[in-house]
Parts: sequence; structure tokens; C-alpha cells
Amino acid sequence: MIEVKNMSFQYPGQKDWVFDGFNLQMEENRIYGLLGKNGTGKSTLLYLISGLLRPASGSVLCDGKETFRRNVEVLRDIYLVPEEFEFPSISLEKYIKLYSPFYPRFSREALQSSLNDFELTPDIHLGALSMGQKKKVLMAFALATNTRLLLMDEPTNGLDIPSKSQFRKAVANNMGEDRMIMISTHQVHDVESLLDHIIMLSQRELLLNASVQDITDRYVFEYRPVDDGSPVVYAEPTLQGNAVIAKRMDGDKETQVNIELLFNAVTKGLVK
Amino acid sequence: MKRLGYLLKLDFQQNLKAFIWTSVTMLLVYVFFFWWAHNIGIPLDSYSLSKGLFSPEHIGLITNAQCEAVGRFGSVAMYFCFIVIASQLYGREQKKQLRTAFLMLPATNLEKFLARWLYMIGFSIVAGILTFFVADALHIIWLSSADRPIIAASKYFFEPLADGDWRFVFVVYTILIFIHSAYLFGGIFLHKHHFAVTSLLLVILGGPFMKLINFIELSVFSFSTSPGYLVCVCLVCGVILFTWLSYRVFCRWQLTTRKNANL
Repeated sequence: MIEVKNMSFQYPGQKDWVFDGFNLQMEENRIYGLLGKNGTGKSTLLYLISGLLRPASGSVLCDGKETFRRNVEVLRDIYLVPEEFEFPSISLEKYIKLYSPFYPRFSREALQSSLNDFELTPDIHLGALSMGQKKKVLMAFALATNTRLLLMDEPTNGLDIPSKSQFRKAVANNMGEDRMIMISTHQVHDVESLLDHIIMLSQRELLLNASVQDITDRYVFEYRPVDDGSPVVYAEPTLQGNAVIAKRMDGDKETQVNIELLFNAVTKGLVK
Repeated sequence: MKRLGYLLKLDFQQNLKAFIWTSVTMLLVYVFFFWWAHNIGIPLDSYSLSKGLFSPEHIGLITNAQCEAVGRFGSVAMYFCFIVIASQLYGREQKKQLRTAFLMLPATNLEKFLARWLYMIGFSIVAGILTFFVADALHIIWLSSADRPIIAASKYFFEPLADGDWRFVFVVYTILIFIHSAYLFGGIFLHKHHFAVTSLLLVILGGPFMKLINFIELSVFSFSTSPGYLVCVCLVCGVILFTWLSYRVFCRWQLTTRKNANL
């Protein structure tokens, strides 16, 4: 379990705190969506959780151990897929031989299955791949490590349209009961159907931290005619009428969360 | 232990290009030294040589002097190579993407530090020493083809560091290891231009220190007086301090911060 306790963080030389007394808990068997405007600290939060940055005060704990100390037991349980990364110019087979021994739960079968999902073969050379293909290989490797915590920073950036659904399939196939995945993204539609839990950040504070189930229990997301007079929490005009968030009443059917709409409502303070 | 092996394998694979380039560069540098000594530094007059005006003893003496010059130059070049490699130990990891991958590898800080340090020693030995022996072997082949007396420059290579009083050798090694550890620290602590900045700092700080020693008439190389020991003890403490600081900064490395915040 990941626990962020009263954490504050500020980049050196900058006046503003990125986080100030920030708290968060993450549980197994969930896929978390980390959303927020540019510069609200999504990537910074991922780096803090993975121990790549050290909080000024407070703590980030993975099973009670501070992640910034980079204990081997903690590192074995965390894999970070950064937005920008570099592969060595070697074959995938060699890459697997070099890196997989560090991960005791690494699974060749899982890697093969994810590569299949991404329509890639294991006999590729990493130096000859496009950026999108490299990203798919890294994600396939990350899923195959079977670390308990998988952090992904903008995983669908640079992926073409078919690859985005391949990505969802690969993540869903590799989700286990003892695993938690955190996906930081702007492309909310790419991950909408995957998420179990939504975390929305604004400057220094947590705007929303709720499970998708909780949100769908409380609200309905639907399109209503423009002249519909029924009460809503938030509405936005669209070509199909008004996209609305309304309180869910007894007898209302459960709807799928429209994350973009929810995000706009949350940033305007209409949904908490 | 197993992980240390994996890390060494990884370091070797990742730095293979730098390893090859540095080794080839050093080999060319040594070959150039040999060429320079035979043709420019201490040349044998080709006219007199062709007319047979030199006695075999004379040719032997000059060839010996040429080999000695190269051997001594080689020692300096080898040490230069050692400190450059030390200062570039974490050069790759200055790049954010590569630092992320390195720091997130499931191994202890000690294993990562030790693996890179061992790699550096191996790299330095191959690039700094073995390439000299290769260059000398090529040189010997050339000597034999030119009907010159065969004298290996390798025997002069270590002479500056192995000859004389053991106490002198001890002090010289202590100074060299001290400088090496300073470059190691510079390589980890400084953001860029590790070698140049560390060299500058050593000159700025080391110059007045040597002046002070001269001023108070301490002989660094003398063990007959207690100040000689004192300087040695100070240098050993410096080595321990720089190595400890290097490891400490390494353990506290972060993705994007000023490194002085890691001290």
C-alpha cells in the first residue's frame, strides 16, 4: 500500500510549493487516474511516489518504507514508465536479458502476451523502432515485471489510434489483485474505461479523490435536450444537446463517468 | 552479489561505446608518443643511420632513451586517463531519462555505486594500461622490422611509480589516490564540465596548500619529520572524505534538484 502523509515539496529555486501538506492513500487492485491541468504536479507526484524526488517534509511510504531511500525491496515493487525515456540500441532479447533479472516476478509469458496485444514481435531491435513502438515495448516490459505498483506518465502520448485500444487491453489483461496502477494523463478518453479511481490535482491541493463507483453512485452523466429544465450539477453545451452531470436519484440507472465533463465540473468547484 | 554481477553486465553493455572509443583513443595516443619519440623527440639522424655512422651501442642507447621517454609519457597519460574516467563516472546519468532508469533499478545504492566503481577500475585498467602494452607490442614489432635493438618501453611505464624509497612511493600513491577521489567526487557532485571544474578547483585550492607547505618548510616527501606523516594523514583523510561524500551524494541523488541540496 502507498501512503502519502502530510507531504510538502518545492523545487529548489522556485517560490511556489508544488505540494503542501498533501495526503493520499493507494490500495491494491485498483487503477488510479491522475488528472490535472498542466503544471499541477502530476509528474512530480509520480516521481515523489517512486522515490526519485525527496519531499521537503512529510513522507511517501510503500508498505511502511520511505520510497526516497530507494531500498531494493521497494524498488522491486515499483516500475515507472516515464513520459520521456531512452532505450539502449540493442535487441529486445538482450534488453530482457539485461533488465529482467532485477525483477523477481518478471514473466516472459506476460511480456509475450503484451507484445501480442501491441502487435509487436520479440525479435525486434530497439534502435530501429519509432517513438510510439518504443513506448509500447516499455509498457509491455513494465507490465511483465509484475511490480505491485506501476506508475505511468502520459502512457498514450505518441500512440496511434489502434495502439490506444491495444494499450487498454494490455493493461486490463495484466491487472492483478495485488497490483495498483497509476496513470497520469491529459488524454482522459484513452483511459476512461480503465479507471477504478480518479484523483484530480490543482495547485497544491487534491480536488477530487474518489472511486469511480462512488462517483457513479452519486451522479449520472448523460446528454439532455437543451430545453430540459431538470436540475443538474453541471452542464456543457454539445452538438448532441447538453452534456450534464446530475445527482443520481433512486431508480436512475448507473452511467459511465464522462471524465472530461467531471474534470471541468471539479475544477469549477461544482463536484467534490 | 548476483545483483552486483547484473549491474556490472549492464554497465558494461551501456558504456561499451565509450569503453571502445576511450581505449582506441588511448591506443592512438600511445602510438603517437612512440612515433613522436622516434621521429621528433630524440631522433636518430637518418643520414648518419643510412651511412652506418652510428655504432650499435649508440643506436641501443638512443633507442633506450626513446623508450624511456615514451614510458614516462605513458605513465602521465595513463593517470590522466584514470582521472578523466573517474570524473565521467556518472556522466551518462546527467541526462534525466537515463538517470530515471538508473535510479529506479532494483538494486541497493551500495551495489550501484560499487558496480560503477569496479567498472571504472576495469575500464581504466584496459584503457590506460593494457592499451599501452598493445602499443608497446606494436612498437616492438616495428623495432624488429627496422633492425633496431628490441627494448620494451613497458619497463619504464611503471618506473616513476615503483622506483625508489617505499615511503616516497607511498606518498606519491597517496597524492594520486587523493586526486583520483577528488575527481570521483567532482564527477558525482557537479552538474556539468566535471573534469574542467574539478581541475580548476584543485589548482585553486591545491596551489595555496602547496605554497603553505613550502612556506612552513614541510617536506611532503619526508618521513623523517612528523609533518611529513601529517601531510600523508591529511591526504588519506581527504580520500576517505571524498569517497564518503561521493557515496552520500549518490545515495541522495534525485531526479531534478540542485546537487548541493543532496549533501
